[in-house]
Amino acid sequence: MTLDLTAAMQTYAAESQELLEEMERALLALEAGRQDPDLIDAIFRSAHTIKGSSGMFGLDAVVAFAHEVETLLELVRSGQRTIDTPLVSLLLRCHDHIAALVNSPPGEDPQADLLVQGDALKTELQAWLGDASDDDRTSENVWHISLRCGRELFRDGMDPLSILRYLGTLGELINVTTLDDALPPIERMDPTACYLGFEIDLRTETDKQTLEAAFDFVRESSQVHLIPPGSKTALWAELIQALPEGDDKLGEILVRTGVLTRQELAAAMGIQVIDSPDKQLGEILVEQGLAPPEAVKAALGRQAQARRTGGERYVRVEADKLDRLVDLVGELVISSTVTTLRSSHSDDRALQEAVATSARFIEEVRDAALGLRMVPIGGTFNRFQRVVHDLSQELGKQIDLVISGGETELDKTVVDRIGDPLTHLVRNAIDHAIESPEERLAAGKDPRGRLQLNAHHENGSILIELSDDGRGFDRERIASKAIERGLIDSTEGIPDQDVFQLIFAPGFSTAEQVSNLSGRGVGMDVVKRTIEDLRGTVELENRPGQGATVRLRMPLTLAIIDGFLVSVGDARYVVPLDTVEECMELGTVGRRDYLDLRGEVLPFLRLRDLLHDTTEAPARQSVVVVSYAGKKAGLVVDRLLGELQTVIKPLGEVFSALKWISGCTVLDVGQVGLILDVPVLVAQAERREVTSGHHAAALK
Amino acid sequence: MSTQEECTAHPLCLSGPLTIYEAGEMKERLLARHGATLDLSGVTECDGSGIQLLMLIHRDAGSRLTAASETVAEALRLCGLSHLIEKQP
Repeated sequence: MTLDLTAAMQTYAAESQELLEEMERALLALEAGRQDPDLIDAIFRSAHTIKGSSGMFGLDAVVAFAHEVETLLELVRSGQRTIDTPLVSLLLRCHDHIAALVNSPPGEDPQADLLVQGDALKTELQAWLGDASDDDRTSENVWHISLRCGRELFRDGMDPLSILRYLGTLGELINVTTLDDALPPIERMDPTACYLGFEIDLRTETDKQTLEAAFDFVRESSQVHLIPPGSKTALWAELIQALPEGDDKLGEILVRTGVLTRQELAAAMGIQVIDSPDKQLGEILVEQGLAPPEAVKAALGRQAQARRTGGERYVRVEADKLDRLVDLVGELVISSTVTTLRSSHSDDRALQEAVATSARFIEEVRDAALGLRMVPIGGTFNRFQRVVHDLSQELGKQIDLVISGGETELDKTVVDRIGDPLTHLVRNAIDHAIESPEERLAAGKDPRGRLQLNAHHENGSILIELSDDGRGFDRERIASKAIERGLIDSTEGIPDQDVFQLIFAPGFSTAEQVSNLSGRGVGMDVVKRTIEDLRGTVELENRPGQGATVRLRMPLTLAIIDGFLVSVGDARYVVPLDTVEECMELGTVGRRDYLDLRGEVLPFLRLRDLLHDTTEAPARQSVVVVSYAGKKAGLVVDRLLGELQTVIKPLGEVFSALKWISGCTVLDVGQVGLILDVPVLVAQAERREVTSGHHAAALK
Repeated sequence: MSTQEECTAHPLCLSGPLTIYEAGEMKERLLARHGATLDLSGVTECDGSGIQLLMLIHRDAGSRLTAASETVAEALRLCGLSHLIEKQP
């Protein structure tokens, strides 16, 4: 039988990633001075789970290293070691090492330098472990084995009884318990699937390798845990954590794993009933010395976990499948638009009603499908705690990162791709914007710098803000650098905003000293390009001496937009609806390209001119007033055709020269509609206003 | 056709192998005689799937398992399930 390991490996990588993030968060929280045993547990759990799943893939380097980390964490958990800054820092480096191991290409042995690094870390870990790792083995040579059979076991031609018989030849089977917890009710049970679980106590002289070999053929599909003779209680605790049995009573689990006998449990239960009805069973077991605290804690954790998973369940779905769904829903929305249109021409009232109902549901399906792609940005934000921690230490700065709005949801693609540009902006802020503690004190500021990451919704887009309280942008410095690099000739008459935008020009860098963090001039232009590729924009706000804010404005979703359909000549265009402010008649303006909007100057663009459309313009043209990032512009079109929902299809490379088109869509009559890129158009109208520069005067 | 009462009264005698190859068919047979007492004296071979089926029928249908043949008894003993077999009066 061949196993599809690639799919499994992907799940493994994704899960490990999440666990590593959790571990890192907990470590950073510890370093920030939080005293919480839950944090240690979280770190332990992450290391432990990674070890377990890596073992399933035979990634021995990860298993071996994670095991060392786990052993040390075990001491911390049991209170034999206290956690302090040097230890957290060591654990952070261990975290990085595990991440590097996990991310090294599958199927190959980790690179030599990684292994060297691992050995160095192991030595450090050993030093922390000290003499506490002495084993006090009271070995009776009894191994405990937990086996949970994979469903395919029988169909693969294997039989757990043969394994039991083989184990019997290696030593003496003291105790075998067969579990039917996974066995479904009789109606749903598939007689050829294997649902069995075994708890086995085996007295044997053989070594671990031989025992493990007994499970070689079932290891891929089944869960196997071996507990060596005289193991510390921690291992039992681990076993309880790892067993798949769900909502089991704590006592039952302990009996099964052999930590307690049924008699001891019964005795404890008796005490509970008579003497202390208020006490938890776990407490009593510990009090009576019937079970080690670790084992009880683990069992309790297991129960809590079982309850939790009942509440919120996740399904891991391949992104491709999701994209296909969203794509299909998009097509559905289009065809529904056609149906609605056609039915409105018909006299059949019942049909119209039915169509309206289905259109409403389709809209809901659309929202739900798009909702599937939405993920909170908090995960991305939290990654920066580490970036800030590492960089500020390296640079001798003191910086706090304050995160808000982490629950704001946006499209997964955007979340995935915004990570790198954000990282660069954060690094930049730490390196360039926030001053050293001495400089800050001299400027009369708090020596601790402050970085703020915030996300929230704002009319149809997501605003991600990164604010610092550093020195702010230095217009003169940027200007002189830009002139030196030949980006501009002089800054005369260029507004601040445009000067600051120069930092996004390729090859620009103001760092007087090139550090290894930023300041190599690569990146800021890439940041801007990435954001623009995602149909977003970058704005800068400067508070000289007090800091700066970088605002990234991102679209909510990449797949579907509500649009406003207009036409010029025979061609149809879609204006994203959330940018449309109002529509009005053009009236007589002569050859002017601005008009008076309730006393305001409104620059406008004639789409007819942009398109070089030479057909005769109709007598009455209309203006669509659009706004973006607080600026307004008018677009002159022939006709207004109303709202529609539409699926964005990307344009091919051939059309990349068309700056003011962001995509295309298929309209109801099979015609192609081009989607106007409003940010570009608004900027263009504004530039025209600046260059001609006499509008305001003319209006008066 | 026998009635339900007769079914429970007269044990269902299983014979021949009780392995993965028979499992599908065997489950249907056991379901058809829901709750019947099983006489296992004729079982010549029994693997994990057989044990699993016996556990299921004992647990969910309340069937009594009796007269295990040597091979069934050995398999149950191996799994620590000897208590499933009721001693014949």
